[in-house]
Amino acid sequence: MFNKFKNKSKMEDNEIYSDKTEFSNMEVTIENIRDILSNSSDVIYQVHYINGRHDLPVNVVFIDGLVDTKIVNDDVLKPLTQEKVLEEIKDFNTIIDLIEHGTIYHASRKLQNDLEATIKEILNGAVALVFDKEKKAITFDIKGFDKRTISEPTTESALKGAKDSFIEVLRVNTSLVRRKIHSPYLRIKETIVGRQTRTTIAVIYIESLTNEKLVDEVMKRLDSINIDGATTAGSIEEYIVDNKYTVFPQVLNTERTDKFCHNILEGRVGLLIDGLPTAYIIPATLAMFFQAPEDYAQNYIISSFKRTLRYICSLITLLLPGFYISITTFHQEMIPTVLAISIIRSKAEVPFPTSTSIIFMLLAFEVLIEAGFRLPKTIGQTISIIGALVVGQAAVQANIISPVVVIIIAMTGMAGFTMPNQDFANALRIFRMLFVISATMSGLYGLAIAALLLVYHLNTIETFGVPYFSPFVANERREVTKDTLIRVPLRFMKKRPSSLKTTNKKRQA
Amino acid sequence: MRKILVGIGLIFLIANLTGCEKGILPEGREIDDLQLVQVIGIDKLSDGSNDCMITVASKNLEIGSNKDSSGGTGGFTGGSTSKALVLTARGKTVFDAVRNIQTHSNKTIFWGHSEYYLIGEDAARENISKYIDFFTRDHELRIESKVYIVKGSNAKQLIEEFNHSDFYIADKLESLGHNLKLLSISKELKVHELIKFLDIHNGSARIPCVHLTTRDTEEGKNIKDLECDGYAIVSDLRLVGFIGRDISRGINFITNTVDSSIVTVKDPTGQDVSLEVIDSHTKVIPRFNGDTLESILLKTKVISNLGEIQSQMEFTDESTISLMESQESEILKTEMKKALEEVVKLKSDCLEICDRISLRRPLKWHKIKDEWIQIFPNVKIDIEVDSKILRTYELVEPSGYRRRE
Repeated sequence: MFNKFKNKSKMEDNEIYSDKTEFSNMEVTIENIRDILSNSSDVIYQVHYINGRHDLPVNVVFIDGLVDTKIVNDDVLKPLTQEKVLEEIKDFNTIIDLIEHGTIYHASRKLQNDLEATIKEILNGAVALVFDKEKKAITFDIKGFDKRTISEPTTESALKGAKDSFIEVLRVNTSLVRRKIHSPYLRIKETIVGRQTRTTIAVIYIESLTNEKLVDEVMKRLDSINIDGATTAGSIEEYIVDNKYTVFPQVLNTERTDKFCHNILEGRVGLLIDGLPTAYIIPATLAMFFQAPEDYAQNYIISSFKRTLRYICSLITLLLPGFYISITTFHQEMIPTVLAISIIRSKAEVPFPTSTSIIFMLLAFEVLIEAGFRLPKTIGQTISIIGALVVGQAAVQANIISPVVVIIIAMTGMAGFTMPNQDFANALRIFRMLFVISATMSGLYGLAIAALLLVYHLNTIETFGVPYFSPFVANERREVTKDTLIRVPLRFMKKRPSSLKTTNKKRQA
Repeated sequence: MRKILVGIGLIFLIANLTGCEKGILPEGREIDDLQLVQVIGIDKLSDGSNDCMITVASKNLEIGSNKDSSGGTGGFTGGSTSKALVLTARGKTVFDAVRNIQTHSNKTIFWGHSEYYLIGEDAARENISKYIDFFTRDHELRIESKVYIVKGSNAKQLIEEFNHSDFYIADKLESLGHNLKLLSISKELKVHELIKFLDIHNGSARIPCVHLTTRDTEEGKNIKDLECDGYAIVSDLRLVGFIGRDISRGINFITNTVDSSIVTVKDPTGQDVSLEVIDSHTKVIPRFNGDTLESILLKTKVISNLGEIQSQMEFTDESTISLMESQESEILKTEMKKALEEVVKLKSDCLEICDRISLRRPLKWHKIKDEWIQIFPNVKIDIEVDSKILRTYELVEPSGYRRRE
């Protein structure tokens, strides 16, 4: 029975690639191009006479909107009509030869013998001169579509440091990386994902530095993706990670070019996806989600302080609501007497148990965040007013929620916002709910079991051969203290992280 | 799948192997359903029934909330205006009384926050250990709580009468504890220290006392107040006598538990000078003849600062200083001597002298340790006090001394 299913899926695979094999056999003629691209309104087909001679027609094909019309006019069509050299020539072969070698002077020109490649170029924003008789085409890469300018990072802002961020166009993004890393060994390998979208994905690494096996593994996983389209970030991320059932992010995404390059230099592999302004860094470990770009721009003592604060905040946002439930319903003797009396006073008229009000407030908090995301920016502020007034003030005055609970939730929420990575903060929020439930059931005892489960879970994750919990778990000795809870002066970070098994281990002399 | 099964199995085992008898999960209760007891009074009933009486005081949380106290049943005293909610219950044993007290309250009595145990004089005269056993055995009560003996009355009376004053009894006891450090007339004693002391000193102990006084206010109204008052001396687990606050400082000097104290002496002109004791140390030097303990020398070194001078005479003179030093020595020596005599008379081994001998001469101590109770009242104890005045704080000479020249 299982074999049956297997056969079926294989058949489907063949169907998917069948169209590809079809047009690799076809010849480069305007008829075939018309067949495949059909008559979409934005595909322009023109017949152009070279030097105005009726016996020398050439087909011009391009997609309106993807090419820069002015350059097409001045650099392609004008020489084709006016160039003196072409006046004398009678046969197409010489013309093709001349054009290929500079009679039409455009930097990016290519002679195409293959229909598939020609169509790919046209769809990427090239102008094709198709010579029907010779079954050949010459393409000029004249991309001229509108794109967003390189702007400041919106989600990861930094006081000190580069202010450029990635945009949606892959070529611009790779140029941003090239501008930061001038090494001749910087490698940008491209592959195509998505049967319909044909999205280009660039794998970026430094040869002779990055672990070759890691690069190969990334390429292998990218090539094995077989989906319709890579239009959202998840469509790549979800298919290449190892542990498909965890809530914790296993690749680090960033829109900052400096953070991206920093990680490339550390020996990781970068991923740029055409059409997405977020870049991916592979593999990611838990400690990386506590690193903010400014950490390396500020004094190391200040950075260490902030880093430690972030670790403490992650514990607060995970444990505080559960801890509060535990001590107020199971371990009242733990609270100092004066505090216990003020908690009792504040809760005297509240009808709900502590755990109910904590869960209610946590859900209200999640709703506020979600509503804030969904609303347009201009009316987004109303959310905070409604949230603060209704959930906070009114609920306390109506004796539905104890003010101490509001303080606890506020502290929890604020501590959660210190996480530099949103995906990681979301994962912590999910586990926080688990902690609250286990604390409701059995106090600190339940909290301890839930914490054990979390640590166990984190230790089971491995991304691209690197333990997620490294450098805390693996045998990495002094690395544990270098760039985790504290950030030592940069001159002490002499080696790349050993868990990455880089070819070149030293990063400074 | 196997991993998940193993995980579930492990959690199941962890949950079931906790050693709890009832149920898998612990039982929770809301914090606002609790009445946090802070002061517990323990009394023996004087009606000959051999029953115990427990009086507990917890903070009255309804003050200022404009709501009438709903009142309680049974021994519920203290209205909405008093600072503490006081409950009383009796029972055959302390534990029995503790359970009975629950019926008098509309909330769950929570013992985890008890800070002070007040033991009535009658109960203490019968047997200390009998009445504190429950408090050291039960898991909910803290062994960090402090013990006081109520001098001259029973604990119930003290707690109830003090409840008419403007203070909350736990706050007052806390401030008394701070005062004890400044006066050094006794020292706070935690209940675990007490049971340890009773065990290693043959049932002897010294426990700080409190008593109720009446203080006159300007309006001529009497108000009740708590005062700390020396030590209660326990011998053979029973209260045998008190050392009043006039000489109880001597015990602190002997046992090296002086934090700070004021000694008032006279200068050559007959005016008062106050010395502040900032440091003191007493060495216990046993003198053996063969294996018999002949005498014990208590050698005390006291370091004081000059805190107040009421006359205007010149003080840089060394003879004046040494005069005051010798007066201080004499005063402290008398206090120590009187306290020592009193303790010896009560046949209590509460001065930790035996511990110090065992540390100083462990081999000899080993031979006399069994007869120590018989030896101690008869052995000759000498006291030597050596005082030294070090500094005079901000001023050296009193202002105005030049005028007299």
